[in-house]
Amino acid sequence: MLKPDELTVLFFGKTGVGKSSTLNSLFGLNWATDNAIACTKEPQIAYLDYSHYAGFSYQQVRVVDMPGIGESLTDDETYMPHYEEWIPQTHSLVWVTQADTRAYKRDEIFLTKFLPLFQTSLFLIVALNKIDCLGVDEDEKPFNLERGEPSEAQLNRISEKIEDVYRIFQGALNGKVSFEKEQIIPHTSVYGWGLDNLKTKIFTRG
Amino acid sequence: MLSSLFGKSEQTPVRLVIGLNQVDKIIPDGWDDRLNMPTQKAEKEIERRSKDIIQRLSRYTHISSDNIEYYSALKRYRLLPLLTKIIKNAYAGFKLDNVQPADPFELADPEVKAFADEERQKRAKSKGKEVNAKDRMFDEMRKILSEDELNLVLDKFRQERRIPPKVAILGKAGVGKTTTLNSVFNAQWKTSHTIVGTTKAQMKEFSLSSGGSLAVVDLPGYGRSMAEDREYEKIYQEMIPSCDLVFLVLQANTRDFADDQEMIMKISEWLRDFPTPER
Repeated sequence: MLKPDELTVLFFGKTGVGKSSTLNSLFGLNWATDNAIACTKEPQIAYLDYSHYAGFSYQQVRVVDMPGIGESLTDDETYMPHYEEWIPQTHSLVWVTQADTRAYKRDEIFLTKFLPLFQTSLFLIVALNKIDCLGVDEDEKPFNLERGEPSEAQLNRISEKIEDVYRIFQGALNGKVSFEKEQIIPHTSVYGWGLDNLKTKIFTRG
Repeated sequence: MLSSLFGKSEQTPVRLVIGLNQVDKIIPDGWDDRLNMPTQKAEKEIERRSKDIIQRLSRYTHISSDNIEYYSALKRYRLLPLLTKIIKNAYAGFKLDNVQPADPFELADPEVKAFADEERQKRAKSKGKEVNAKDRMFDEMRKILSEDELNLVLDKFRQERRIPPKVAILGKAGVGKTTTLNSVFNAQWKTSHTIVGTTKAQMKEFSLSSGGSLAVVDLPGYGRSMAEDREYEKIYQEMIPSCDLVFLVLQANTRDFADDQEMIMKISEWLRDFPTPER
């Protein structure tokens, strides 16, 4: 099912976490994003030509944006056939979630649901978006807009955040695919911080 | 109209109010920091988006706009309409004159705040008496409610019971429950930005300015993980039946309401099982 010279990267996540925005920033795509309405109702596919990249073992990268989950219980059910079709064809699954929340149950629920669809060779990356919105106390500095970087207070909080997300995801994966803390990449799709790191992770798969 | 004011029937208020918090974050750059108000354009958009959410929630869960209000705890925006809904839907009446939300003008530009203070003093003088929380509150409510509605609310205070009203506050983890409590009841509890939020029910007793008290049950946030939710659900089920009102805080600037939808259905069920607060 997996083509040897084609890398399939699937983007998945809760609605509103910034999947399409992350995709656009990463690959220079122009997919519709809107902070009000869920734009991605059907899987969207882009083919990127990477044949000119020396040392990269794939000719082509297929990037798939899946409809977001969590909007309502009924919508989630209607998207299920899409996931069943696409997840078994996936090399790298980029699971986008956001840093400025403590609620990861919906991620956990879907990870559990998808587990039987995962190839054991699947490389899972958790793209921890919205680092710029990471909450700080009143006397601490927020995201540095000028430099496009998280503040020191935010940087200090990131490791704690990764620890928390890791615990929840690792628990749900239950050893089905290998998953290390280094596979959680903090970033902000709006200001670009962390995107290079994410891109490297997706292509090197390790 | 009358029955809608107190939920489905006057005898049994719905005892559930849903607050859509963080509407200030719906539109980027939509907040006028000088006035501490949304810009005109943002205000329309906030209203439109909130109506959308209200419509969607009522489609899934059999609750209506009588039970939902949008606001921003952080900016102290629309705290009065929210408080009005809380009062209308609670089983025991609230002492409205005792509940004074935090002042939004405190967050505005000093010049704007000074102007607001001056205007308030002028109004106070022209009435020949000091403006207290009660008068200010009823002045504001008059703008929102019709005479009939206002009278009904007043009646409700008169019928008020001796026991302090008990409110359970609940919401997804990190949605702004503590900030909401602080703004609506003008208190100062610490908020948590870290991964650890409220993990058990915390009883918070408010001494009200003219005697009496208000009991708030601060419940741990849901939606963090399946294991935690299983634990917390036991706490909710134990605490909710005894409350005069369940106040559910939702985040208006997101779209993922599946967890909330599930919770609304559960709360409605628990409340139905105990149509009057179990004391």
